[in-house]
Amino acid sequence: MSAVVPGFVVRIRPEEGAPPMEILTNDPDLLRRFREGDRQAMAEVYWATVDKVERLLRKRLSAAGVAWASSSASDLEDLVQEVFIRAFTPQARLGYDGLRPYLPYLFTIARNTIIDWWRRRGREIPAGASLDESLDEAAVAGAPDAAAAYADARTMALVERFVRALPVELRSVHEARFDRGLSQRDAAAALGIGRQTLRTLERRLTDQLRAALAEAPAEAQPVAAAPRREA
Amino acid sequence: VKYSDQDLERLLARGRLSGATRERILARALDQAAPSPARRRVRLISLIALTLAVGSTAVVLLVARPRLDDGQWGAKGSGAQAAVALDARCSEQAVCRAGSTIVFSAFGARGDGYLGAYAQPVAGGERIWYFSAETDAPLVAASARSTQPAGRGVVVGAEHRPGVYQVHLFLSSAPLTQAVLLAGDDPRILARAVVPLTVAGP
Repeated sequence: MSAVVPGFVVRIRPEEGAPPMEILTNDPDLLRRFREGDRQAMAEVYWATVDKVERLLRKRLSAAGVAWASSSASDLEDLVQEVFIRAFTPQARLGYDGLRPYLPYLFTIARNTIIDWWRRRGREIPAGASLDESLDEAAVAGAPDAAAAYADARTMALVERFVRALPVELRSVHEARFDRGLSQRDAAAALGIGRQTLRTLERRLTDQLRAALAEAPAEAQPVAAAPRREA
Repeated sequence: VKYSDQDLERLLARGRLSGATRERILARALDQAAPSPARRRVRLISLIALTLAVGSTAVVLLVARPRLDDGQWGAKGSGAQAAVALDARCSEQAVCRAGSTIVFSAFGARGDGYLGAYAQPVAGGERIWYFSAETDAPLVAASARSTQPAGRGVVVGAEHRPGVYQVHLFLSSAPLTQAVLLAGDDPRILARAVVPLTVAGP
């Protein structure tokens, strides 16, 4: 799919690179380098699968009742990181045979990671987080992301307004880097701009959001010091 | 509320991981799995330096060690700084009930700190704030040598539905707002902990 906006060419492709199910199984050279611990090969595998892993973890945690507020964003980051640290150990790389699809293998690592994570945190594993059900890639990839809380309601409303009001060049950058989570290299290529320009636009985005948050009227202070439920 | 660049990245990503975050994750994962040649060199140099330092210290100790009975040789002070332990519980009971008081405490902090706390129902539901700059962040005295209770407890009321909660605790050098505590990466946070808390029905 391709959309043209003034001043920018935005190429929107549903899938970038090799589909993750096929990564490593149809590329013997990549498989060999991956198993040897080549950083470039591991990075290639990472970018082909990180979106699916992130989505899986987010859904499973959400199903287990973890509210995705801003505090949990760092938990998600930690979990995704731990999955790939485990996946990139020599044992895990050499343990993959290269014959069967790689993603289910990676999801098994994700399952073990999240179970360990629950044990460390609450010592109880909620039923929804155990990933006992089939780790079907289609189910993970196909299901749309549910709208989830990522901050308090007031901040979310402000961010949503901010994003909707972005000029087209910043909206394209926002979509590539923050909605789709593309690497700087892929985002720059998708937007048809240089990486330095992309960095400048990203900086402008964050600076403008910071200013918008600072200009927002202050929230009414609670009058009672008693524990309260969030609005 | 001051937002760091990472706070803003997270807000812009709206619950997902931004490209920059994914890049950081990849860098850290690769560094653990296959350190770059430059990093390997740094690690090797560090290892050599550490070995030399340990060896030199051992030599100094062997040569300069006083007699054990001279009354001057031995560990002084509290030794290595222990990690700060934060806790929240209903007195000595394993399970809280309506009317119980949740008591908060700290152990191992070398200086005074402000307590921030909230409870997150594990089964889902609304977060319950106990302490933050918006309401009240009690000061907890230095607790390097003994457990120090916070000056305030929380009475379990109707806002606590029966179930399991994860209580997030923070000790900080200044009272911090809810947003800053939720972000969790402010340098003023001295220690943090998550402890389970079970609230039983009537």
